[in-house]
Amino acid sequence: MEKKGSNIFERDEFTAMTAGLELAQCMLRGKISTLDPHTISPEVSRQLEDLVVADAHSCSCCSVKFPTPAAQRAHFKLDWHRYNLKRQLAGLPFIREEAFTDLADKGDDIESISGSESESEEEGEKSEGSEPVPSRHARAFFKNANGLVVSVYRCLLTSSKDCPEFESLVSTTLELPQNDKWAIIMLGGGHFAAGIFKGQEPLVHKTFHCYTVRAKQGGSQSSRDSKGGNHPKSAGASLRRYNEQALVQHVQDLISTWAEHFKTCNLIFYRAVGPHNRAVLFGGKTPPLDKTDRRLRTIPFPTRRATFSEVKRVHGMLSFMELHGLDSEFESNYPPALERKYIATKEDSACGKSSDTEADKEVSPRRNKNKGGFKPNRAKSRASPQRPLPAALSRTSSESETVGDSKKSITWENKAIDMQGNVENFENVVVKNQMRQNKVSQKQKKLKEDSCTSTDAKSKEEIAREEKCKAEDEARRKKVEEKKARKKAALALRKQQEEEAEAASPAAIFQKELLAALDSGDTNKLCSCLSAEFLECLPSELPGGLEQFLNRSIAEGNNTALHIASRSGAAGMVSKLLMCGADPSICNKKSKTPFAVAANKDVRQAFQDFRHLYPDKYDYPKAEIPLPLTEEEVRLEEEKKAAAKKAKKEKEKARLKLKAEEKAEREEAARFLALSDREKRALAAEKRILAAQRRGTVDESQRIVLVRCFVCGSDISGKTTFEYSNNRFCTVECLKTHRQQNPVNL
Amino acid sequence: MAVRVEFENNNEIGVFAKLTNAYALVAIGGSENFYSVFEAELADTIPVIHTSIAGCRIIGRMCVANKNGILVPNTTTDEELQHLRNSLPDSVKVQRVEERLSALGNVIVCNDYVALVHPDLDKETEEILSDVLQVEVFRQTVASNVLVGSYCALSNRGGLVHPRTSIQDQDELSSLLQVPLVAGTINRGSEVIGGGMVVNDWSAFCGLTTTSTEISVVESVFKLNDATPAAITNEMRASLIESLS
Repeated sequence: MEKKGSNIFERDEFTAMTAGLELAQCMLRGKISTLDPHTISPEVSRQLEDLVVADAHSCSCCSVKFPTPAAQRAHFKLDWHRYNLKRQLAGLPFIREEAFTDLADKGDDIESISGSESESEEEGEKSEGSEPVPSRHARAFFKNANGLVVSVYRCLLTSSKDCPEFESLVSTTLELPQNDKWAIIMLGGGHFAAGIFKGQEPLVHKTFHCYTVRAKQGGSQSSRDSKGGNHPKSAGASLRRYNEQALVQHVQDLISTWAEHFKTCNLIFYRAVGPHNRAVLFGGKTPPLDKTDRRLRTIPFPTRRATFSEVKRVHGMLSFMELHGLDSEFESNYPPALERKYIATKEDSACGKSSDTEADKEVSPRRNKNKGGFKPNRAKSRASPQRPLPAALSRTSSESETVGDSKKSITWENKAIDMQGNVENFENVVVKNQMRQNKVSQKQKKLKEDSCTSTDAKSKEEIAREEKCKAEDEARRKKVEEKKARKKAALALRKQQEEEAEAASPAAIFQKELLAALDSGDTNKLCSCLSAEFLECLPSELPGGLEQFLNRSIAEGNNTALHIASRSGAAGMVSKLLMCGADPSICNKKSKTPFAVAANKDVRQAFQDFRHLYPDKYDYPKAEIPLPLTEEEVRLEEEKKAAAKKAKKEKEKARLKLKAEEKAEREEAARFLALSDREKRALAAEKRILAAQRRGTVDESQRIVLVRCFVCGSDISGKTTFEYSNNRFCTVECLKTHRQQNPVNL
Repeated sequence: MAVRVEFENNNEIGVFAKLTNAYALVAIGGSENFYSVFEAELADTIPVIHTSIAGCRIIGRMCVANKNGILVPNTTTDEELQHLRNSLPDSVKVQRVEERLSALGNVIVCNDYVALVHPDLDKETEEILSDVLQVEVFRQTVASNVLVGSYCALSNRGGLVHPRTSIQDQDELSSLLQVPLVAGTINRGSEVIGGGMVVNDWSAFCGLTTTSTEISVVESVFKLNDATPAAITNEMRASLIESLS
């Protein structure tokens, strides 16, 4: 049986299905009646009126009654009661006392009675958890006037953030066809698909793909990068990294361009699995979607790769109102999605997917043959075989395709699928396909070889053709060369003619004359060149007049006449040129003014003098010409210079003096070192005495004279002396005189 | 009288305090305000003691106590035990217990005469409980919840139980405990009665969000309206005289 029902946007069927809509009984099963802390329930108020100690001597857990309160109190301490209590918590029925005593005698459950162990607790939780709660099912079930159960996806009615309000579900369902503008956004693995639907019609849609996930490896590049360690620097990695950013950009751009649509949407469904995908929609400084938006819903069933057809399928599934049949039958079969499995059986063999079943048929007889014989090479990559979709998936995929199609049927089966058998099936399929592929590749190889042998016969023809081609090429090249040569000659001729014409022009003549004058360094020649008579001699007027011509660059390096004059160091020429109107603020190629290239002081002085004479004629700051110094300034400058000279001289004197002192000291030290030990000691003693004397008596007159020069009698105590035949002398001169006076008689 | 109080913006008073007829324990918190409320209400009759148990502030859930004694989990430090012994009246026994279910306040509820305990509580703990607190111990659940201490508040004069407790269970429990019971909520609809309030024979403390309806239920079931220590003794005297005469 195919799922029955209709699209909620088909008005007639929708109104028929939703006539007299109310919540199904199963929805109310798990419902907790709300506690109102502001009112007292009648029971409680009755209890409060007469607060008495009750007189119920019983135990509901063990379902026993007691004659006396004492018996009751005793019962609540029994192991039997405790055992029943635990059974009750585990959702098991109580056992009678006799049964319990039997159990205790056997010793089976003694442990669980006496100690606090956890096994039974876990069991209890499990049974509780597996109990299906319809109020938490992905679909909301309703009952209509005909006693039929219909359901729609709960996400159409309430947001997961809202508290489920049972009362509003029905009214929201009835309003669904009015709130018909839905947006569906799907994002995953670099694929993005989005569409905005009005009813069943897509208003706008967009699909794109960026290469962000490594093929057959999975995992986004950013998650790989954030794992730490080194970032892969391969071309692919950087490509993916770039594409991730590009995807975010594209999505955000798209959503911003659709902003108007999004504003008016009643519901926004999205599928973005994982933090990276979610960050595309909800991350960034200005997230495309608001996380707290009440219209946001996730898609409550598995989806495939994000494509427009998938978006349409999702829309179809979401907007499908399913018909479950009669209320009474449904109640007994509830819940369909949790306990039962759909297995699609195809009555229609002409359907597009018949190949799958054929493959299955093919495989089954071969299974025994392949067993143990051929093993797939797991090191090599194999083509993924075309497998039939798992039962659950094929069901979901078929839903949207064949909404109105009733040929296919779905049957309920409480059978467990034999996984082992299925897996074997698929393995064989792989092997077979691979074998087939190998055969094909071998065939192709053969074909290639055949083509190789046939080439020999053709070769002669080809050689001839090649030679011909070469000859043609040669001829063409020659032609081109000739053409080039001709062009060159023509150009040269034209140039020559131009040059001749130029030479005859007044500007050229004047320039030649000017350059000659500048080169000669003769001021008079320049004067004559610039004179009015010479200008009149020219065959015609200078273009733009003399001034403009002077300011033209006439030599290489964009030098003007003034530059040349300035560099040559002819102060007279500079003055003359300036007088004639040569602008000193024009820079040459190296951004140097004529003043900056001046060869000597005279030229600079000439510039400065000119400035002094004609303070407004040119732009002197730009020409870098400083004002000429006044007399006062000149004097100050000179004084400064004299002072500096003097200081320098003194410094030199001091330096020389220091040098002499150092030299004397060095000599003294050398002499001291040359002395014998005895003399050194004597000298040291003398020095000590002198030092002691100096410390003790400040008075200079009371100094003790220890040694005097043998000849002149001056005080030489504490100094290194010159010695000759046991006499000491202050200087070499004294010693000399002594020797002359007393010649040695050998 | 029932007093509304708040512990650092938290309404679960039963978590941060323990109240008996002979003493009150309050948690060491950032603010003295919580302590002051108890002090103002109780100081002239019973000592109010600042303490932590096992380094935690959730003393109400860690220990079980009545006027006869107090049981603390084995994670309680020696200093805390010494502090409790020093601060509590001499008649109050302090005992440390080795129990797997260490949040004793959640698994045991007691008044001065009876105690309801978690079905899985150790036999040894049960014995210690009956010895130290001098109570009769019953293993029972409250509205199919094993955490009887969390979902039940009990005094010698009445008890408040989980709002989903069936009438039959209420009657059974009432006859077992020999106090009138009422099912109700605390702290604006909270089912966690034991965690939400503390009560003794003449006073109760509940969270700041408790509605007036809830307060009125609490006051009537625990008979707090006419309850002062003196009034209770008067009543007892009257009944004594009646029985003697």
